[in-house]
Amino acid sequence: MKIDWRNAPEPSFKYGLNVFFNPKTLGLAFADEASGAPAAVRAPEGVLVMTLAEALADAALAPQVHAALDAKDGREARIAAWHRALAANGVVVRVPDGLECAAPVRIDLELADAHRVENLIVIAGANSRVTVVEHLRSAANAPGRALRSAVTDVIAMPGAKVTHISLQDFGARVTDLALKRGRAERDASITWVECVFGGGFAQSRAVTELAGEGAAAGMKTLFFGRDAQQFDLYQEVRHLASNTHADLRTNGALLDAAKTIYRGLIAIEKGTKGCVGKQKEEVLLLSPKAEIDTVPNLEIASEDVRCGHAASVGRLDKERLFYLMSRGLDEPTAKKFLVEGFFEPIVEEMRAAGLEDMVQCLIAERTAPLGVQC
Amino acid sequence: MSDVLTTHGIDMARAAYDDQANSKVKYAAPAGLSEEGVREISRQKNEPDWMLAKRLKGLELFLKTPMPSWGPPLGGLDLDKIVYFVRPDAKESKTWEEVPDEIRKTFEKLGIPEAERNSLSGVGAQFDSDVVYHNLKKEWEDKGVVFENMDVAVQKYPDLVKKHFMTDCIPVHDHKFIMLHAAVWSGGTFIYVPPGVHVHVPLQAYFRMNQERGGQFEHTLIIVDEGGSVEYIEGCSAPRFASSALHAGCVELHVKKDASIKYSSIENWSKNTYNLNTKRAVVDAGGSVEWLNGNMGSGTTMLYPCSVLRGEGARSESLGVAFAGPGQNQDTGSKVIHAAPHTSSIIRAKSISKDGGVSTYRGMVRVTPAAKETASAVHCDALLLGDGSTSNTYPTMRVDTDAVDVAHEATVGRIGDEEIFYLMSRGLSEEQALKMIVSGFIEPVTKRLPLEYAVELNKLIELEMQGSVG
Repeated sequence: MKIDWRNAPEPSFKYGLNVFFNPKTLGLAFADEASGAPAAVRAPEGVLVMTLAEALADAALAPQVHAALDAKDGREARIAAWHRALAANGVVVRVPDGLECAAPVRIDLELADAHRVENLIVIAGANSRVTVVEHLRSAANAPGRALRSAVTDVIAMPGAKVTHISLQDFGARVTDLALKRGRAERDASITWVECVFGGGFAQSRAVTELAGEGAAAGMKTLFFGRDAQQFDLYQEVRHLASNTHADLRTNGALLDAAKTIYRGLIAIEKGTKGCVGKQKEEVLLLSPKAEIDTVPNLEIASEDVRCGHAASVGRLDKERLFYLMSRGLDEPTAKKFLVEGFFEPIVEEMRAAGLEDMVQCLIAERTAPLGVQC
Repeated sequence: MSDVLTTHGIDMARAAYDDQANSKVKYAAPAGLSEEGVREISRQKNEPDWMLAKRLKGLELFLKTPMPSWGPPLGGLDLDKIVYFVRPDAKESKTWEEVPDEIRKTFEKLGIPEAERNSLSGVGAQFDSDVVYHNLKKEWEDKGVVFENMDVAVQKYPDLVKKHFMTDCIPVHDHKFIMLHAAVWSGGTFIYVPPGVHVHVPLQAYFRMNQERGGQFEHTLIIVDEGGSVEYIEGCSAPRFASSALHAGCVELHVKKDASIKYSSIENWSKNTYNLNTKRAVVDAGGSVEWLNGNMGSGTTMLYPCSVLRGEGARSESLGVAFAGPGQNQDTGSKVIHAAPHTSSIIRAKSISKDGGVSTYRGMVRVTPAAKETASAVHCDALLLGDGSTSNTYPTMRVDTDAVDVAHEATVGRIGDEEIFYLMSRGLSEEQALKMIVSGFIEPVTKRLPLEYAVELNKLIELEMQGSVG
């Protein structure tokens, strides 16, 4: 069913009692046209990279590509409709069965358009192994205000292992609406590693379905907001089959008047057995004006499970700070060390993408106001 | 090993809650809600104009407010078929002998007079819409403690009631079922503890719905003045009927400076009751509130006790256990609003979903910018037993300031085969092992209850666990 985005209801961004964004502050200036020209894609040997049109012309690929394009969006109706109306372009990455890629597929986007709508579909064949890295920045001469909607689909066929790593560092006037969908078949695994630094408003919605027995999903998320940045993070894993595993971990920090709403859901379907779901979120509030709303949900409809979630919100640990200072560090340096240490488990994951230094630098840039220059 | 109830014992125990007494009814309003009906309640109670105005305001708001768009389904609740006001043919009595036989027998089955003799300062017992028995030990009366039927309190303590009744704690417009409550409330408990008085033995009330398609809308208002303290316990039950009943009570706790209230409630309404209850405390500087909630009964429960910590250093602790058996939907959770510096809260919720039952933890911790140096910890544990059971956890934490420590943790799981095997290898039957593990699971709650309530809670759980092993 196609609805005209102009007729779709205004997005409300209400996520329950007292948990909401004011849509007026989010820069949702939709337009009739948007660019979708593929970003620069570099792929290792053996991996097929094609445009959406080429993939749809391939009889073997078309059904999967269609299924991905028609999958539930889940974002606000107007955003979903706008994306659907303008998503003519995109990239399909096909990893042949059994191929174990040594080097990652790299996508570098330097955002220069005022409006951009794009699709990326990764189809990892049976028992293949691939890492996809997306590095998203604003172009140096970018005009400023921009609205981007990006949908990434990862389909992991039986036994495939896919890691998707993204580093988002758009300018402060960019509104980024990112949707990630994953579907893991039997014994396949999908790991999402995500670092959110940029955008005036950055939405990231990641929904992974564990469709085959023994499938696994991982999420490692880092966010660091400052000034008046607003982040809307949602993570969902649906256990549709038995013996599936999910491990979600989010580390975030907020400076100045930055605000983040973090929502999570682990859903275990009826009739499954032996599922394990873990979700952990830790947030550092580094300013009295910063705000974090945390809603980590569990929906469990099977008795044979082990599930848990933990969330904590607070400031830098006083005892650790004291310890470091007792070793001769001044307060700003000690604080900087603690913040960097706090993010280390996620930064580690960026090493495979060669983006570790970049992420460390972005963290250092933000910890500088704590007193130390990068 | 504690005594395992025999089949006969179980039937007896269940029957105490499920039987309907053949007591006489003095007045029963026609089913459904009308302005006429609301005016009639107020007239029969000879209420002052401000209370009637409040009722009518509630009715007006109720009629134009839609049903909640979230939470468990309420489709089976036919609000037009509920009898909103039922008076048993009995006057309020000070001794049990004066209470009509049928009603007395019901309460005796439930163990009320016995509990009073043993360890309580005072007891109130309510049958449908009216309080039938009320007593406070003289010792406390002499110290100025008031423990009254809410209807009587409106007449006897108009200033105190007018100031605190559905004003700054739970206002009439709060939500749909509070509006309904405001319109048709009847009976309940009023407690006032003067400054500096510590009532160190618990006060108790017991509410019973006996009328088919009845509604019970008791109002509990507890005010503890500066530096005072009180412990209050209430139990609720209703017989089992073919059609649905509704309970929409309201509990308001006013904890003044440095005062404290411990509020415990074991709800065991019959399984076709919709229990849509509202409980809230406003806590001033240095005050503390402790909530203990056991939700065993009802088909559908929506209950989220809330503490508003509005004075510096105020504290709140919530302990809850919910049990959802076949066909039950227990949607409960705790809310805390930190609105002042140096406030702290602890929430601990336990739920058991069994054989198709649905239990949901839906909670909220809100830390406002004013709440510097605040600490909050939320801990939820859920146990799933049998096929088709569901456990949901929806906690929300909203933190608006940096000088805080807020933590949430939840676990969901089943009883491990190894644990059962271990206990069975020590000579327990499988059923005994299961019961023992479940008792251990809810122990953090039971050990905080007065003994006879801990026993009741354990007995109820044991009853519900009966026949768990196929």
